[in-house]
Amino acid sequence: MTEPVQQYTLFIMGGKEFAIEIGLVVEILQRQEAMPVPNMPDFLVGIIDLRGRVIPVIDLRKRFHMAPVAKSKDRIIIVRKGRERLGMVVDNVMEIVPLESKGITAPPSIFKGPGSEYLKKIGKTGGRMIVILDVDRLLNREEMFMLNEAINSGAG
Amino acid sequence: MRLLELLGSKTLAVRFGLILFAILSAGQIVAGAWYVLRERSHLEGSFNKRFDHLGALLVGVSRQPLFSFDYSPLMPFLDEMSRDSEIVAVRVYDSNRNLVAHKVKGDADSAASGMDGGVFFFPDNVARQFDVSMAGQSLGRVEIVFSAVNANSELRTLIIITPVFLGVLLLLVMFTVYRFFAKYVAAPIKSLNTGIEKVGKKDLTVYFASDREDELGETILGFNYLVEALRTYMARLSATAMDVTTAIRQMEEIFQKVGDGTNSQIESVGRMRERLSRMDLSQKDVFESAERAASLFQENLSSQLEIRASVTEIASSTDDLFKSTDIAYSAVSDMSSSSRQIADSADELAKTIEETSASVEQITSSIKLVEDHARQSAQVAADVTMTANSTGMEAVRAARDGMMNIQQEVASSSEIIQRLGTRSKDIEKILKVIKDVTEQTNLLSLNAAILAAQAGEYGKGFGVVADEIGSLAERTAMSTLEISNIVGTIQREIRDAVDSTGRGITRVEEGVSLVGRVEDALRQTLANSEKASKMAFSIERATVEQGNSIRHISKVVDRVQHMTKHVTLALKQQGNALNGLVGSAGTVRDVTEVVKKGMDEQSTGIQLISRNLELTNDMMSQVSEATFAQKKETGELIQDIVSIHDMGRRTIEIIDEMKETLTTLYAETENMQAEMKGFKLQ
Repeated sequence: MTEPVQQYTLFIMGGKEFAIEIGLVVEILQRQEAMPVPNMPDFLVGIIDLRGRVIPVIDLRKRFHMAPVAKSKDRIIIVRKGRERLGMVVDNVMEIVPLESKGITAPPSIFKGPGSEYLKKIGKTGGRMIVILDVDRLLNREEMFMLNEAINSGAG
Repeated sequence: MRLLELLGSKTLAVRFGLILFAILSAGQIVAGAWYVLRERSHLEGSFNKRFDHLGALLVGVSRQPLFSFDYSPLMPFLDEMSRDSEIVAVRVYDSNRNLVAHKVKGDADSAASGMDGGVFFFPDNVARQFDVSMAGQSLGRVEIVFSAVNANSELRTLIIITPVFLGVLLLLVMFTVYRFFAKYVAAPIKSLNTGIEKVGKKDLTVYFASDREDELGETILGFNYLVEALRTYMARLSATAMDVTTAIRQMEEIFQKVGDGTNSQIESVGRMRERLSRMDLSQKDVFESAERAASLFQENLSSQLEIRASVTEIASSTDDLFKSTDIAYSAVSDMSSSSRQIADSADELAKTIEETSASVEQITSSIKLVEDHARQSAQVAADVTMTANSTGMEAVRAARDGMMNIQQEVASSSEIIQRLGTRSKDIEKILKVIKDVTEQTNLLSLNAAILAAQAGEYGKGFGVVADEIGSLAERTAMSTLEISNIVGTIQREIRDAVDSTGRGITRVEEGVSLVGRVEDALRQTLANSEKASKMAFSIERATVEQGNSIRHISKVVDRVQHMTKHVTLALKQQGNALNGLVGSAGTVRDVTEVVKKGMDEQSTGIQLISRNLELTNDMMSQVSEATFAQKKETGELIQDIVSIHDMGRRTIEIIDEMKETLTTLYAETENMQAEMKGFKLQ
């Protein structure tokens, strides 16, 4: 049984709109100082302590090789990734939008391939196209392993 | 009724109970049937065993009688057998199927040869036949008929008792399940439901104490966490709204102060304008009186020049007179030596005297003119002095006082504007706080919306509230931006006001120095005109004196003429009265000398007056110029002040506009707070 309307968290990076299913979002935070972890890829900002829980934070713009925006509010979206939590720095979180499931389509096959695994679906609202991200595929297995190592070293 | 209701309500417990009931019923029906059938087969087995046993026994016993055709020994055995209550009939047949011996109890005709008397029951009578044979040759056959009534009644009992027992068991299980559901599932879910309903009605004080470790316990824990998170968000939101309200109140106060400051600035600018126009009026007075004084001086100067010309004329006439008198004297002296010459000379003298008389008359009229002019000049000089002293000086003093006042007002206005500058800095700070708080509110509303969306159906109402708060925050942000723009405009206006106040200050300073210069020039003019006035008076006096002298001269000349006529007559008639004539001529010469001296004196006096008057005239035109320049400065100053005034007005308008914006902002925040107050947090 599929719901015809699903809620999505709409956010902006580099002037473009992206969305994540609301069920995957835990919380939205203001920009805060993250503890840097040495010898990590540059898109990993560091780790933060959220109510006693150590959470790795990545800069999604760097992950997607986007040029930095001058007037960025820098919000952190905390998402569920299985049992883990992951913080993603984006330019700004705009609103919660309902997207009709009939307006959501799979991305064109030309986009499928290495480097675009994160692209889950394309949604449409008010004539705009929105990229719906696949949180589970933002990082590959190796990167996830490195992040876990970072948390453990940070927590230890 | 209650049961129907229960069935009608499709609660989980009822549905679960119904399904369980159906499964258990089916199972029990199958189990009951199976049990009864098993019992039946068991009974059938025991029947068969007994048949086999008794059959074998009967076959053994009846073998000999059948062989020997002596059937008597069979009867006791048959009697013995039929004693068994379940054996209805025993029959023995020979090889030709003739009944040779039998024992029958009751109705044994309807005996069935099989055991099938229905699904569960046996036929009432069951017959079995056994062949009796010896060495492979058939001797006959025996038949035993059993009654299955007892077994059937036993089966009947079983068929009745088993379902009853199973039914009771089913009811017991159902009751236990229902009790379990009611106690461990339905009640907690119901209380959870009421809690969620309470949350839907904005009561966030709900908390469930539970030490259960099952799924429901986890659900309750999750619910508690959700409510706790909502409560925290709400509390934070409420505090944020409070912050915003306080900030807006503070801002309103500051704007009130800014408005008051601007109003007092406008007032002081208005007062300045009034003073300036008053000053402008007195400057006009100064200018007018300076102009009047200048024209009077001009007039004076021309009179003076006329006087000078007359005096020069008089001087030359007097010179002529003096020379003539000298000549007359020498002629009279000569006359004493030559009477003929005297007589001629006397005629000549008479003629000359006549001329002199005419000249003197001319002088007299000229002197009269001079006298009039001198009087007029003195009057004018006095007028000028008075005008300069009373109106001019007063006006200059008023102008100076006005300038001083303006200087003070401008200084206080400048101070107010500086204060406005610092106030607007304060406003900027508060705006920053509001901006931060609004952003935080926006974030909180987003988080609340996420929580609401995750809470599912019950979160819908809360989601609406979160949306509303979000839009309120957005509107607040927009209002803040508007205010920020307005504050920017005000700051620009204030900067303009500061600049133009600075310009006003320099202009006022220039005006003050100009007024000082006017005052100095006017003072000098006053001193000069006083001097000129004194001079004019002394001239008037000298002229009057001169007039007297001239009149005296005229009289003398008249007398001289008269005497000369007499002398000529006497000379012609007597010719020996020369000595008296010589004396008279000497007198004439002396008088003429006096007149000449007075004339010279007058000439120098008039020259001095002329110089003084010219100097004063110069001064007057200086005053005129300075006053004109000052008037121009004052005009510019008035323009500046009017522009400051307008700016103040505009600032007030903008502040009013901003106050309106603030009021809407305040109302929106109040809305938000009211919305927040709907949530019970403690």
